[in-house]
Amino acid sequence: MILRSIALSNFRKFREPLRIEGFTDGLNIVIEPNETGKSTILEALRAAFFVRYSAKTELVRSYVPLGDDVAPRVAIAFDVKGQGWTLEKQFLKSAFVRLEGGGGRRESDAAEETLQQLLGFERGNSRGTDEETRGPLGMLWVEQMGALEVKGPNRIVRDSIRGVLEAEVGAVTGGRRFDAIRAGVETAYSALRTPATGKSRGDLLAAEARASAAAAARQAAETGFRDYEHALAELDGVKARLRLLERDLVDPETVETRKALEADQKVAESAVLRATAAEAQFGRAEEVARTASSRIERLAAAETRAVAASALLQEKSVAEAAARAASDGAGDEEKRLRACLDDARSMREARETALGQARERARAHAVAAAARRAVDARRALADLEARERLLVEEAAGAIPERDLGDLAKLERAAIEARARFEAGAVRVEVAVGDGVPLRIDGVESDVAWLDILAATKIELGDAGSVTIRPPRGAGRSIEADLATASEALAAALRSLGLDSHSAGVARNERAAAAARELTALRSQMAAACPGDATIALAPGADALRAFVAELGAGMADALPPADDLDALEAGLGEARLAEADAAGRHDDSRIALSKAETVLARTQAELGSALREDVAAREDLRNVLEGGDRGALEGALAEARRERAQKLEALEDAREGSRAFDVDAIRRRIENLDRAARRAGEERLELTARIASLESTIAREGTTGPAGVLAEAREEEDAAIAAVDKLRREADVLEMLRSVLLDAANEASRTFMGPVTRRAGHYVERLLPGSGLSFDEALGLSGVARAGMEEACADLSRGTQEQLAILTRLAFADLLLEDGAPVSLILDDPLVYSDDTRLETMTDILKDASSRMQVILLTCRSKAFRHVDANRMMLK
Amino acid sequence: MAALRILHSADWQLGKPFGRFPADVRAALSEARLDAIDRLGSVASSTGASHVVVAGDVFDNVEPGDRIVAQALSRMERAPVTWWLMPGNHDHARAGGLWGRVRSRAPSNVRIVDTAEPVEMEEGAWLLPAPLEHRKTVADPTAAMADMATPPGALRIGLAHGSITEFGASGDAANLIPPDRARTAGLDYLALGDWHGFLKVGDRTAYSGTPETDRFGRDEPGGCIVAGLRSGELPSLERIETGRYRWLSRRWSVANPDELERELAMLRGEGRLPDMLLSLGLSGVASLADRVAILAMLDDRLAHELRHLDLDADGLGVRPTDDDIALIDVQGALARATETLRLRVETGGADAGIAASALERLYVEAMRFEAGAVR
Repeated sequence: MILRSIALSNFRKFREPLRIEGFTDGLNIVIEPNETGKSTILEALRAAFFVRYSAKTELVRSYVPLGDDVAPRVAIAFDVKGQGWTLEKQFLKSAFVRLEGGGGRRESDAAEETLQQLLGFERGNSRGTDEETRGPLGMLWVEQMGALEVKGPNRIVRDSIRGVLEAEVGAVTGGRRFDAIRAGVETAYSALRTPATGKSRGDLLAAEARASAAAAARQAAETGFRDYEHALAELDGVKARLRLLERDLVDPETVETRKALEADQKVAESAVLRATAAEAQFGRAEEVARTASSRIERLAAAETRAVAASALLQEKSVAEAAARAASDGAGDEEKRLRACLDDARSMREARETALGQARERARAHAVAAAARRAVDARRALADLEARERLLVEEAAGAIPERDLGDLAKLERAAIEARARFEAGAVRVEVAVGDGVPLRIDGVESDVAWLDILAATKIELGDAGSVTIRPPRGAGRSIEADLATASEALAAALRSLGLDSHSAGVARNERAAAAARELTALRSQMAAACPGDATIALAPGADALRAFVAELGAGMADALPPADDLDALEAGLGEARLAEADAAGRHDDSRIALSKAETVLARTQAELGSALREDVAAREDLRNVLEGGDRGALEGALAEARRERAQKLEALEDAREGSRAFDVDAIRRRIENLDRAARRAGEERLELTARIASLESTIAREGTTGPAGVLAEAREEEDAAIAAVDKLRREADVLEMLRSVLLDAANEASRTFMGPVTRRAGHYVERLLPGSGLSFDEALGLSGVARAGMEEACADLSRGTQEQLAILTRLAFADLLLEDGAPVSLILDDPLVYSDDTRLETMTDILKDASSRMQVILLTCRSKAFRHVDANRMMLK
Repeated sequence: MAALRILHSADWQLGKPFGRFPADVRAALSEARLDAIDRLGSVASSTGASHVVVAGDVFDNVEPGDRIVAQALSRMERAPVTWWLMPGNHDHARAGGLWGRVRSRAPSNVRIVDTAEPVEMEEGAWLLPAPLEHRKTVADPTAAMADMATPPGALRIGLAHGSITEFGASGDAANLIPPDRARTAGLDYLALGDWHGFLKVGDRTAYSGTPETDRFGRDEPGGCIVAGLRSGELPSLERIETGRYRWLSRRWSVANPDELERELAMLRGEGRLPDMLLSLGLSGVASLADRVAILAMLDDRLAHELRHLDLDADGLGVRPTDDDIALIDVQGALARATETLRLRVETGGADAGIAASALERLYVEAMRFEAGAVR
C-alpha cells in the first residue's frame, strides 16, 4: 500500500484545509515543528480507515476543532497492488464515506466493507479503540511513543502470521486441541497443587489434613487404649493383691500363732520374775558369805600384823642400839684424829716459820754483801769517773782543723803586716805616772807604747797634750793593715782561746789522745757495773750510782748466818706429809661419823614407826576380837556358804526356766503380727477403693470400646494415607504431564516462530550483534538472548525496547508483505531514545525496508534524520 | 445314651472396622457381621440345634463399643437357642474387661464361658471350654481338658481357639492345640475357632470358620457347622453357608476389552455381583487405548455393580501403539509431549511409572477433547 496524499479539514487543529501530497514509494520523512499537528495526521489516517463514518463516539467528536460546530473531513489517496484509490470521509454532520477505485465507487457501508477487505481489517467497536481488529495497518501505523511498548501484534495480524507460518513450517503447536488439553491438565493440577509453588490444595490438601487428623486420632486412640489396658492390668493386679490380703487376714494359722505366742509370753514373763527373785536371794546370800569370809580374813590379818609389829619393834630396837654405839665410836675416832691433825699442822707451821727465818737471814746477808760489792764498785767507778771527766775535757779542747788552718794563715798575715808597719810607723812609748790619765786623741788609754801613723794627740792628764804628726804618705795604710791583721789574729785566737797557732796544734794532739783513752775507760766502767739481782741493781753505772746514793752510809757489816737450810727444808717436807696423812684420816673419820649418824637417825625413825605400828596392831586386834573370836566367825562363814550354795541352785533353776522363752522375741512377733494385720486392714481399704475407682473407670471407658476405636483409627489412618498417596501420585502425574506439555509448547513455539525469528534476526543482528529474539505464544517479543543470557524485554532499556519493537514490526510486515497483504509503515516521532549509532543503524534498516514497502516517518527533529536519503516533506 | 445337636460357629469378629473401605461399604460389612447372628439363629432353629457354641473371637477386639455389644446380644436374645460364647485371642478374657460387660448385659440364653471349667449344657452334655486369657498363649489352652471330669456317659464337647500345631503355615506359634486333643481328652467333639475357613481335623475336631467372611484371600462364603453328637459315635458334621458377602481375589491377565468381557462373564457366573467384594489385580500389556478402555469398563461398570472393587491396575503394563500416539495428536506439541513421555516410560527410569500414568492421562484428556469436539 502506498499512501499518495492526505487532505483534511475541520479536523482538530486543522480548521483550514490541509493537503499533503508527494509521498513516494520509498522512505518519506515528514518534518514539522512540535504542535503543528503531525500526530493529528496519523490520527486522521486512523479515522479515515478504521472509524466508521457514521460513528458519533467521543473519539469522533474529539475530531471537531475546539469550539466549532463543523464536520471533520479526511480525504486520502492511496495505491493498493498498483491500483489507485481515493477515500473521502466526513464525520458527524452530513457524514459520508466515499471510496473510489478498482473501477468503481462505493459509499457508506459498502465503502467501509470494501475498505476492510482491501486493507485486511475488521469492523471494530464503535469507540474505535479495538486494536485487535485493525490488522496490519493497525500494527504498522505506530503513534508517538506507541513503539515504546513491546507488545504482540493484533489478532488479525497474528492469525495472518500463523497462516503464513503454518504454510511455512506446518502446524506445530496443535492449536486448540493442545490448548484445551493443556488447560484441562492445568485445571486438574491446580485442583491439587498451587501451580506456582507446588503447595498442596483442594482435595490433596484435604486428604493430607485427613491423614494428619487420622494420625492424631490414632495416637489419641492408642493412648486411650493403653490407658484402658493399664487400668485393666492394674485392676487385675489389685484384685489379686486383695485376694491374697483377705486370705491372709482370715488365716486361722495366724490367729493360732498369736494365741500361742500370748500364752508363751505369760509363761516367759513369770519365769523371768522368778529368775529375778532368785537372783536377788542369791545375791544376798553371797553377800553374807562374803562378809563372814572377810571378817575372818580381817582377824587373821590383825593377828599377823600384831605379831609382825612386835617382831619389828624388837628388831628396830636392837638396830637402834647398834647404830647408836657405832655413832659414838665414830665420834671418838673423829675427835682423836682431829687432835692428830692439829698436832701435825702445828708441827708443819713451826717448821715453816723456822725455815722462813733462816731464809730471811740468808737473804739479808746476801743483800748486805751485794751492797758492799756495789759500794766497792762505786768507789772504783769514782776514780774512773774522775779520769773520765778529765779525758772529756781534754777531748773537748780539740779545735777543728779548718779553724786551725785559718789561724795559721792569720798569724802569717799579722807577721807580714807587722814587718811592713815596723818599717814605716812612729812608735811612741809612753810612760805615765800613776794616777795620771792618759788620753790619746781624747780617749783615755793605758798603753805603754803606740805606733803613730797619723796626727795623734796625746794628753797626759791636765798636763797638756802632745800631738805627734808622722810623715805624710803610706804610713797610715800600713798601720791600718797591721792593725787589721793583728786584730783578726787576736780575734781568732780569742775565739779559740789560744795564744797562738802552735798552742792550738798541741791542744789538738792532747784531745785526740784523751778521746782514745775515754773509749777504753768507758768499757772499763761498764764492766765495773755488772748489776746485782740480789739487790735489784740493774747493770750500768747510772743504776749503780743511784743505788749507792740511796744506800747512804748505814752499812753494817754482818757475819754470814749459820743455818742449815737443806735440813730445815727436809724437816718441813716431812711435817707436810704428816699433816696430809692426818688430814686424810680425819676426813675418813668424819665421813664414817656422818654415815653412822645417818644410820642412827634412820633406825631411830624405824623404831618410832615400829612402835606406832605395834600400838596400832594391838589396837586393831583388840577391835577385831571384839566382834567374836575366831571360832565364832568360822562357824558363821560356813553357815553363810551353805546358804549361798542353796540360793545359787535355786537361781540356776529359775534361769533355766526363763531361758526357754525369749520374751522380747515373743513380743516382737506378736507386734509384727498385729502390725501386719493392721496394715493388711489399711491395705484392704486402699485396694478396695482402688478397685472401685478402676472398675468405674473401666466401666466408663470400656463402653466406648477403646480397642474398637483404636482399630478403627488405625484403619482410618491407613486409608487416609492411601488416599493421600493416591492423590499425590495423581498430582505427580499431572505435574509431569504439565511440565512435559510446557516444554513441548515452548519447543513448538520456538520451531513455529523460526521464520519470524529469522527475519527479525536479520535486523537484530545489525542492531545487537550476537543476539537472538524469542517470542511468546501471542507472537509478542518475550526476550533477547545475548551471549547465552536470556533477558526479559521489560529489563531492556527504553531505547532498545523501542528499537526492538520497530524491528519486530518490520519482521511481521515482511511476512505479511510476502503474504500479499497491504503494508505501510508509519512511525510518529520515532527513535527518540536512540543514540547516534543506533539511530543510524535504525535509519539504515528503515531505508532498507523502504525498498519493499512505503515508510513514512513523522518527526520534529529534522537534524536527526538529515543524513537519511529520503523524500523530505515540510509541513507548513 | 446322650445325644445332642449343636451349631458350631466361631470368629464372628464383631466390630471389625473395615476402615480402608468407603463408608457405605464399611457400614454394609459391619451390618452383615451382625446379621450373621440372625442367620446362625435361624440355621440352628431349622436344623434343630438348641445350642450354638462360639469358639472364640466373638468380637474383633478386646474392647468393642457398647453399640456392638448391645446389637449382638439383642440379636442373640431373639433366637430360640442357647448361645455359648467363649473368649478367643481377639477378645481374650481378663478381669474387668469386655466379658464382664457382656455378662452383665447378657440375656438368659447367652452363656459366657470365660473360665476353663466344664459346664453342663444340658442333661448329659458338658462343655469343656478353653477360653484365652491372653492374645497369645504359648501354652496349649486345651491342656486342661484332659483333666476335666464329667459324669460317666456324658457328652464331652471341647471348645477352643487356636492353631492346630500341624498347620505350620501361619508361622504363628501361639495358642497351639495338638491335633489329637479330642482323643487325649476323651472329647466327643472339639469345636475350634481361629481359622476363618471350614476345616476338619480328624473325625472329631473341626474349625467352623467365620459365618461372614471378613477379608480377601478366602473365596468361599462364610458358614457354620451343625454337629450331631451321640456318645460313643463319631459326630456327624454338616457345613452350612451363612455368609452374605463373597470376598473374591482375582488376577486377570487382559490385553483388551474383549478379554475383560470374557472374565467378567465368568465372574458373573460365580454369584450376585452386589454381594461380592473383588480384589482384582490386572496383569499383561495393553495398548494405551485398550488399557484406558479396560480401566473405564472396570471403573465405570464393574465397580458400580460390585459391592466393592479393590483394583490394582499397576500390573497392567502399557505399550502405546502408533495408533495411540496418533490419537493424541499426529504432530505438533502434543505429539512431542507424547513422545517425551513414551521415551521416559521406555527408558524405565525412576519416574517411568509416573510417566506411564502421565501418558495415560494425556491420552484420556485427548480422548475427552475428541469427545467434546464431536459433541
